Order: sequence, then C-alpha cells, then structure tokens
Amino acid sequence: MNPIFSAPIEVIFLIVIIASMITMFTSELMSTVPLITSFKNEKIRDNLLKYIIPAWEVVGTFFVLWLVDMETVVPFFAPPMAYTLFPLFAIFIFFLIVRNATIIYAEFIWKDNRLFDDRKLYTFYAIATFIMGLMALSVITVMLSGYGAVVNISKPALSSLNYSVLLSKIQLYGFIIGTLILLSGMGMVFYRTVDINTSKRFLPLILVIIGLIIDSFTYLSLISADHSVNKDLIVIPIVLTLIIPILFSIKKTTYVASYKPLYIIFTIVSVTFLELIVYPYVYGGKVYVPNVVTNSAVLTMDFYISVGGGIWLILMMIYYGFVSNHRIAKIMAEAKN
Amino acid sequence: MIAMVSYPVWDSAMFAYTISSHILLVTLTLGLALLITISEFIGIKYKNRYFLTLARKASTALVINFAVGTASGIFMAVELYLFWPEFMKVVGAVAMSAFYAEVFAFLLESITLMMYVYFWDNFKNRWNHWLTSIGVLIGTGGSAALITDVNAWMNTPEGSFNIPYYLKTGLITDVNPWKVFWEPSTFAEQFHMYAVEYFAGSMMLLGYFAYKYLRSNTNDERLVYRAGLSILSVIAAIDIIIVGASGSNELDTLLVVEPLKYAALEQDMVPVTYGAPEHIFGVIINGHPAYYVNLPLAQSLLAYPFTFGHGYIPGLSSYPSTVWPPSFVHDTLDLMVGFGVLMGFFWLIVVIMYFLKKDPLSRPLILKLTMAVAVLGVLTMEDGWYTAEVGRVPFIIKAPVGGTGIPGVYGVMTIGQAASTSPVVFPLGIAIIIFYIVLLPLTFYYAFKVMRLSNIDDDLKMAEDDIKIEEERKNRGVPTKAGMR
Repeated sequence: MNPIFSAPIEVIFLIVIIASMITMFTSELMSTVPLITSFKNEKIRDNLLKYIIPAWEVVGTFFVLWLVDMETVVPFFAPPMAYTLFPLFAIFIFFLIVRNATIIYAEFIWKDNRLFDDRKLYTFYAIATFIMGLMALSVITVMLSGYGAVVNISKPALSSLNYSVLLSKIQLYGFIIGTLILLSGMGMVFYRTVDINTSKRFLPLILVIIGLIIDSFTYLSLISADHSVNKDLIVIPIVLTLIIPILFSIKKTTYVASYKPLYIIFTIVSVTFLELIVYPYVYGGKVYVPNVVTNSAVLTMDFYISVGGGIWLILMMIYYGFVSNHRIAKIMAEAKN
Repeated sequence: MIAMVSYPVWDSAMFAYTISSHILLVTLTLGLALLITISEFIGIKYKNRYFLTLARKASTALVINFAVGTASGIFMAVELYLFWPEFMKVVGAVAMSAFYAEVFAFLLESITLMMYVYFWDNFKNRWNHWLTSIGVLIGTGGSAALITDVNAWMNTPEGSFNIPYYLKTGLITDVNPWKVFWEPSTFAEQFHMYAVEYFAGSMMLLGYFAYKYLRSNTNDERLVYRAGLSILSVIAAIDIIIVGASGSNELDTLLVVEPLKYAALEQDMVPVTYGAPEHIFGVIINGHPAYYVNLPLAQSLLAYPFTFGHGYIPGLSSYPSTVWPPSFVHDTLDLMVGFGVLMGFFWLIVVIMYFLKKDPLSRPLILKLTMAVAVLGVLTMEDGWYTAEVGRVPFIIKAPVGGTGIPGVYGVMTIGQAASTSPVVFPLGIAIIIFYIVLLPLTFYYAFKVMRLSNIDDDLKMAEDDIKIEEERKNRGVPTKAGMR
C-alpha cells in the first residue's frame, strides 16, 4: 500500500502546518527585493506594506505552531533534528529577531530620529528576511537530502551536520537559486510590481518557468527519488504554480492572479504535495518517519485541541479578513475600474 | 573559563538567564494588555478622550513588545531542544498538550492584537474594537496559564504517566495528558502567577507614567498620564493584597505537596509537629542554620492558625543532603516577602491618602516613590521566580506527591540527566547573553518612546473622532458590525 494512505492523521496535520508556514513565509520573502529596490515608488510601497505589516506577526506565529507540533508528533526526532540544523537554525532565529525588531521599529519610528528613518529600517528588515529565506532553504535541503547529516535518535546530542559535505553539493545552490527565481516571478504577481499594460506582465511567467525547471530537477535529485513511490505527484505543484502567472499574463484575469488567498491556497496545496512525495522518509532516507512518530495519548489530546483550536482559528481569520476588508468583491470592483 | 563549567551548570545558568529576561517581556505584555482593555472601556463608556488616547498609545507599545516577545519565545523553544534534549523527550510524550494549547492562545493574541492596532479605524462600532482587546487579554493570560501548567507538572507530575516503570526501564507508558492541566500544585501556582505578573506589569508601567507625569509640560499631557496612573494604581493597590494571599496559599500548598522544597525555603532542618520557629535570613553551615533572626513559634502559627500551631512541619533531615536545594533559596524567599511587605505599606499609605482626599497621585514625592517601588516590584518578581525554580534543584522533574514509588529516588529526572552534553551549548549560550543584553534595553526604550505624546493635539483629535463616531452610531442605531468607516 502507498505509505501516504497509512500516514497518521497527526502527521498529515503536521505536513499541512509545515506547508502553511512555508507559504506564509514565502509571501513575505517575495517582498524583500522590491522593498529595497522600489521603496520610493509610492504605489509599490503601499502594495508591499499593506500586506506585510499585518501579516508578519501571523508568519511568526506559524513558526511557533510548527515547532510545538513537531515536538508533539515526533518528540524523539525533534531534539536530534535541532542538533543537526543548529547553526542554520541559530542564524535563522538571529535574523528573525532582527526582522521582528526592525519592522516594528520602522512602523513606529518618530520623525526626528537622527540615526534611522523608515526606509533604512525596512531595508534592514528586507535583508534579514532574505537571509532567513536562505537559511530556510538550506534547512529544507538538509531535511530532504540528509547531505552531511548524522542523526542519532537515541543520543540526540551526538547528532551533527558536516558543512563541508553540504556546501559541496551543487543541488543546494540549484534549489536555492531556482526557488528565488520562482519567487521573484510570483512576487511580481502577488505585490503587483509590474505594469500590467505592457508586455512586462509576461515577465512573471518567464521567471516562474525558469525557476520551476531548475527546482523540479534539483528537488527530484534532493529527495533521492529511488526511495519515493510518489514522485509523479510533482505534476500537481508544477501545474498549480503555473496557473497564477498565466492568469496574470492575461489582461482580464490579472486581478484574480493577484488575489492573495489564491496564492496562499495554491501554495499550501503545492507544498503539501511536495512533502507527500518525500513521505515516509526525511534526511534522504536516513530517517523513516513512522518509526519516530509517537503513539502517546498526547496525540489524541492534541487532536481534540487541533479541532477546537482550528475551528476557532478559522473563525478568527474570517473575522480578520472581514475587518481588514480583503474581499473578493472589492478586488473585482477595482478590476472593473 | 567556559571549559571549567560543567554542562548541567552552564545549561541551567543560560536557561535561567533566558527565562528571567523573557519574563520581563511577558510581564510588561500582561500589564499593557490589561491597561488597554480598561482604558478603552472607560474612554468609550464615559466619552473620555484622555483614556482613549492612552489606550491607543499603549497598544503601540504592546505590539512592539509582542514582536520581540515572539522572537524571544521562538528562541526559547529551540533552546529547550538544544539544552534539554532528554527532558524534551518526556515533555513531548507526556506534557506537550499544554504547550500545544498555548499556541492557540498565542494565535488568539496575535490575531486580535493585529486587529486592535492595525485596524483601529476600521471599526464603526467602537465596542467591537474594544472586544478585540478582550481577545488580547484572554490570549496573553491564557498563554501564561498554560506555560504555568507545564511548570506545575514539573513540580508534581501526579498521575500523568507511569513513573516507577519509567524510572526502571526508561519507557513512557500509561500517559494521561489531561492530568498535566490539573496537577496538585497547579491552582496555587496559577493563582500566585497571575497575581504577581499583573502586579509587576502594572508597577513597570506605573514607574514610567509617574516619570512622564513629573516631566509633562502641558495639562493635556498630564491628564493622559494621570489616566494611566489612576488605572494602574487601583490595580496595584488591590493586587498587592491578592499577591500576599496567593503567596501564603502557595506556601501552604508546598507544605503538603512539595515538603522538601518547603523545608528548604523555610530552613527547617528537622520535622516537627509543633513549635517551628520562623528564621529570618541565615545560612546553613555544616547542616545547621546560623546567622538568622529567630521568631519562635511563628512558622507553626502561620502554617496552622486554626489549630494554634499544631501540625506537621517537614524537615530537610528526612531527605539525603544530595537532594537538598541550595540553601540560599531561604534567603531569596525572605527577601521576596520583605520587599512585598514594603510595597504593601507603600500602597496602604497611598490608599489612606486617597480616602483623606489628599490626591496622592499628584504629589511629586509619592510619584518618585512610585518609580522606586516599580523597580522593587520587578526585582521581587524575578527573585520569587528564582526562589521557585531553584527550589526544585537538583531535579528538573520532581516526584509526585506520594513519591516516585522507588525507595531512595526523590525525583523523576535530575538536571544532570536532562542537560545536553553537546559543545554547541557554549556558543549558543554566549549568543543568548548578547541577544538579551542588546535587545531588551532597546525594546523597552523603544516601547516607552512610542508611548510618549509627541503631538498631543493630534492624539487627542483622533480620540475625539472615535467618540464622535460612537455617538453617531448610537444616534443612528446602526447595527453592531465591523467595516470600513
């Protein structure tokens, strides 16, 4: 039987949380380059800040949700994972702090400050978020491939990562570069940083295709496809990823393409399938996930908490959307104008 | 120098440093959340622009605090894995539900805080906006309660898993995750934690408002800071009584559920059933207390007032000295109680002055003393936290109330068993020290800076707009729903 069908519900939930976290983070990561290069352009700056200012905290909350859910579902695997990825995590968290501090300082910076202004602080924020992105992509590379990783489940403190092995792999650079190209194309759609009345509206599609080609090859190489029985599932993320820039390149549907929930839903589904391709292995086959999933009664308890908390969370998000007026009707009205 | 420090000592010191720093952010967050809820309520209800301005300003400080607090929280979560891998294995298999539920409390706080601050002007009905502050209040309070649940479980892990079997085999069986939410020490810890956190948070803010009030140039500015002083001094004056009551309840609970910790805190060497004295300060030298002030019979009378001091008082001699907590916990306890009594006297004087219609909050001397008491409030909270945590040493997870079930074993896991022995903890620890030294002062400076009234006329104008909108809504009878103005 395909291992996906025998995956415990808690593992599926963890996979979806990881997908949501990656999605939310990429939506922020896409803003970094235009934030530095186009800050003086009022329209682009508004588009960027309107999204990232309320969203950055929710992104941070997803990091916490992931950490805690990891510990719940795979408690014996979380500590060795932390040891193998320690320096990458440490750099990620250091820049997470810089990101949080600078964006909040930028928001409330007073006019007579002699050292900083909002532009400088947003630039720091963008650089910090970009470096976090590089670390996150490196973490994903190790999780998928296990390059240089020594995982010791029974003695977590003996787990480590050989960086010379990791850094010597071309797949690491391929995966990072491919993803960044793909995200730069997606960002143009998400934040509407290109003029839709010129042929520049085809630019996102071109970038996404280039990024997808590089990413698809490196991804299949990273996951040591011999282990995977589900590698054909990669078609789903490819198709979903292409839909958004294609819609953007058609004049009548550019606004639909930029509708933020569309990117978020499509990306969550895409990343979920990318994870399912790997399942049941991580670290390039070194760790068999069903072996490290706990069977503690804590899982049942957390299932109830997930259902109750999840429903509550969805209701809150709907109210949040309602109050912030991010409604499809408004977007359609803008499109008509 | 680092090489001379053992792994458990280094890990404990670094984690203690992290939590005692993180607590400062948590305390201020709790204080601010309570302040904005009460302040906006008064502002809308009594159409008072000063209270509304205060709520708006304080909410920006809250969001700054929240931003840094989130990062600090994530930092701590990763630290838990890296410093305490063996401990986290047990937590993951037994007590993780409390952490998991805490994430949803955190999400509630995060989403409602975003709505409260960033969509302030999107609410036609100001009461709906105020309701989001209740979400922040519940979210922040809920997070604190759920983390305290884990702490209570570490102190008295009663019935949450098969401890004798775990101690013999290292395997975790018979897990009851519900039990983690209600251990024998949970109520006493929660009660005292809430009382102390809201008191210390209020004191931190009171110190700031007292300082700003004294330095204000205009009457409008003074009235905004006065609004803050009024709310927070009422909270502090009432809460100091609750702090005392909950602290006494905490000690009474320790007497029953954690006798070893109680004996160490009270410097009791031998168990007695009557006549235990109260030692004020002092040290233990060669197994005997020395250099203390003796209050005969006082401890027995305080512990058993209804039986005139007749009742069991535990003693350290019932346990091997290898499991005694460090003796200085007795002194830190006395220091905490002493500071608490001092603050109690201060608030008593303020309350008497208020009833004598002497307007204490406009007197420079009282305001200057408030600033000093604010510092004392924070110190006392930190001191109390160290007392409670060091009182658990040498264990990270103690025995249930009835013992571990194995003779001679007094705890489930020692700090030494839980600690990481990976060299990564040393650079991590150094990074932690630098992180908090740089970030905390910067954050507090920034949070207080945005609370200042840079343009009081504009601030008050925004508050007047809010009042006008609420009045118009009432006059029109517009149904209560959110939306763009």
